[in-house]
Amino acid sequence: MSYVALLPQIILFALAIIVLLADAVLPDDKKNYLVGLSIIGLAGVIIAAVVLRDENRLLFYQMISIDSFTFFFTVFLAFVGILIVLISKDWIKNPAFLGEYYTMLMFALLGLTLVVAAVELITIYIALELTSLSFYVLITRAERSEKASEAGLKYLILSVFSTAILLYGLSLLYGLTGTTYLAGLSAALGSLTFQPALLLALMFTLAGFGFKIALVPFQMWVPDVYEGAPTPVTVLLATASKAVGFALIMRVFLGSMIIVKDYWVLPLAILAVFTMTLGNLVALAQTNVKRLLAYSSIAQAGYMLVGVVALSQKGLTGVLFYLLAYTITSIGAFTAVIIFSRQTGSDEIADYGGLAQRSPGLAFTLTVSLLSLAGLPLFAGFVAKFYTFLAAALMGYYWLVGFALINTAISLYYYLKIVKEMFVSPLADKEPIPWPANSRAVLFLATAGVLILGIYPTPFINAAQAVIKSIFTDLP
Amino acid sequence: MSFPYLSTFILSPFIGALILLFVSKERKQAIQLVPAISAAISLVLSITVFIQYDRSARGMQFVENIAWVKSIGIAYKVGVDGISIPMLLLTGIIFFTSVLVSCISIKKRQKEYFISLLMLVAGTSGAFCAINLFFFFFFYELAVLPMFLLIGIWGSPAKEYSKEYGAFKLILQIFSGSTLVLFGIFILFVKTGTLDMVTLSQIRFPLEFQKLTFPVFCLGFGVLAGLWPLHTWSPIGHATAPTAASMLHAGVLMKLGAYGILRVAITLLPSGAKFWLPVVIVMCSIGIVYGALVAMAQNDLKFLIGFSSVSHMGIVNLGLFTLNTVGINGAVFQMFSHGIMTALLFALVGAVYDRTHTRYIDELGGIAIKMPAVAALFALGGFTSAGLPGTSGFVAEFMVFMGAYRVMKLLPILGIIASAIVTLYILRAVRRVFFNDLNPKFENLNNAHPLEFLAFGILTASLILFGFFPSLLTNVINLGVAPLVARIGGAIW
Repeated sequence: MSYVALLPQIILFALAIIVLLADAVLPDDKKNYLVGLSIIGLAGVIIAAVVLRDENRLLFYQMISIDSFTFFFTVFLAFVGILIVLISKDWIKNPAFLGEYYTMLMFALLGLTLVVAAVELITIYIALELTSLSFYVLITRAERSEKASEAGLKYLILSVFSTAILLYGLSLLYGLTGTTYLAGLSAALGSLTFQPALLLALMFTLAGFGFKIALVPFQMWVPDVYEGAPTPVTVLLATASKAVGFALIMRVFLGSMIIVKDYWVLPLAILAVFTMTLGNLVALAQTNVKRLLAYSSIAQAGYMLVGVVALSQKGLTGVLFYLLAYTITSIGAFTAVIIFSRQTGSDEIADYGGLAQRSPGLAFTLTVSLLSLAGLPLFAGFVAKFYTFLAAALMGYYWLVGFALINTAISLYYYLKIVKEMFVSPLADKEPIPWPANSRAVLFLATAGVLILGIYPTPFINAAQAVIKSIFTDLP
Repeated sequence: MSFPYLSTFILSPFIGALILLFVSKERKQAIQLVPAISAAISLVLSITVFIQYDRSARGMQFVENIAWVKSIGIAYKVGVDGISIPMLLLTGIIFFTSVLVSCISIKKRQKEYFISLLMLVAGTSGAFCAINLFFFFFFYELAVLPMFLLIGIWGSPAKEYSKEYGAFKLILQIFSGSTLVLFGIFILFVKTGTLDMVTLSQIRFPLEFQKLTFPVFCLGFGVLAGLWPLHTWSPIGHATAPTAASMLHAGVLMKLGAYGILRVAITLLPSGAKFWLPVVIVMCSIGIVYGALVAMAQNDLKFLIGFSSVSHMGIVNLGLFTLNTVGINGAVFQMFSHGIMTALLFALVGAVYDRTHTRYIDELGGIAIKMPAVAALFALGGFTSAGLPGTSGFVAEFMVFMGAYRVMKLLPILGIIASAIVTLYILRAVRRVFFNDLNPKFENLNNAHPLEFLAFGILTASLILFGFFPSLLTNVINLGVAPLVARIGGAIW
């Protein structure tokens, strides 16, 4: 049966249902079982994906492609999922919310894994909708605070708005080419003479995807939603959702629209500059850690786009590695923030004063994450930036690399501002901060990951390279 | 494969830092012992490499090469030649002495302090050994970051500048410079497809390319090398930093900038260097005189040494840009000599400051009665700084200005002016700080601790040893400089 190739997604779907049913059956004091159940299920997803890693086939009338690209992102998403499950456990205090939350988390992950596997426009759209709706519930229902509701509503409205634009773009594409299959799109676009509608279609599609990766000017929702959402959901939005946005841009734009690259590459490169610059400049002024990380994540997306517009295999390898580095680093940073805010109830940078003496381990791990985001050596971010920017330079994008490097230098200031607060400023409060066990495990994994990726990135870069080489064969 | 001397040299501070991370902060002795052992290992290794380097075989030795990321030419490749060996020795000596000094002078949060210090040394050690541009840059940036914490946490305000200001100014300015360096590395890789510095040094780049790329590297490294007018972070950074950090900073870190100029900018792009020579010489010359003049006006001892460092780094840079054998030999020798000498001066000032709680010349006075040895050594360090014969400073400056004479007949006058000014302010400082009448506040002043004396002793001994027997070092340096000068000689004009 060829549908076996879809086993990881099937497991995810089954997992969502099982969690939902188990939630109905389990009494409140046994809800903790849901954590174990979810982790085992997600581990099953990873195992299934690894077993099926050599699968290479199209399913459901060529709408879903099981290939190394899908494999890479499925494993990636399941791994992120496990970490999110762990940190959510410490975040959600009311056990009654757990079941619903984990169910929606699984649906969100299912949507994301389907997005990366989809090679047909309508399938992409449906998978995206599944993701957005799950996110909407996740943002609002895990905490049930006013702030979260506001964030959820903002996300819903803007998300619907952006998918509407995307749908418009996709329908224009269909109108122009007569196909919704990515494979057919490439050929059809090749024989197309230029017309304004094509430009419109490309820009609308880009706008729709841009919303996912918080590309300027579609980034407006990010700070408010990141701040208002429960932090584990923020992590999911900042890492998994963003990574999938990049996967989409790769599949659709670099996979099948390379033939009309003249119409979208330069605009995308310019938007990349705006994205990193705006993210960085606004981050400089932030006093709230979550908002600062939100703006920093906007800037990071700008750096990753540098690798995308390079339009080369090296560039995309850089982006994949960057996504890994960025994700593991962000998870570390946000987890530290979660631990801190659970104890102190604050996300203000000023309250981090003297953290190095109050809770040295926490200060150390947060510093590692921040320095990695800043792109300093020894940490994952350094290798990611080096590889990605070098790839862009190899394709002659010196101006873009120049902007990216200037931005990197600027960003150092606000990351160090937090480091300074933790290490230099006087103690705000003497009481040590307890580390819940799950979060501690995640923090440990993330820190170790940041260091491994930063010191010996070789196996990961080779893996990313293999994926890119097998999918994007047309690129130089 | 022979014993990996260089990797051990790089890893020793790394592992020291890693061990410290897991030592409880209550165990005060262990916290001092770990860095001391790691520093002793580094010192012994650097001396071993210095002795074992095969003078007849020349070239890169102790090479270790491990492939890292093949697709973009990253390899962990380390090796040393005549230019890096004195730098290794310098790192070893200053690392060891700075740990000794820190054991006495650092009172709070010693654990974090030593971790930062060890990371700083790990970075510089790596950068002096690396011969792959990726790892060179990796270690280069790694060396800078700990300064931020060292100044921020254990520093002290100086004049109107807070320590936070000093820390941020230093880090942001140096990182802007290193961003330029990174850009330059990209340009080189795009052009050649390799990051291996040995391979790159055999390539002859087109003249136009060299002209354009040279300033990128020269300005990038120039920030760290204290090249006027990019030096502004340096005096403030020195003044706000704690003693041992100043020692390492002026002693080793700034040398890393000069080393980068020599190793990357001049070696790889000799024609570019020739083209920009007039501009850079002017910058160095202004730096030499400006640093000395401003130092003369300082009341804070650390600012005094900080600005005199700018002046002396000007001499180093001038020597490098003479582009002839004697000048570059002198510059590398000056890097070593000035490193040891500034470290000594900062250590002495630190010892005085720890006991008197002031660094202002006009608040001190007559403390030679209480700390006679410190006074004597300070005078000795000062004479080295002024380039008095019999000290290593004399040899170094003599060589640099001999080289400079060949470039422009009038340049050595700068040296005379600078020496005169240095003599003036050093003697004045010595008189006002250590002699005159004893300030009654300092009636109960203690002498320096034996550990500190050990540090002063090691530094002084190296100064005198290489002052009387400069050939010990210059013979080795010349092995590295000679092929370089041959390459410059053959460069396209």
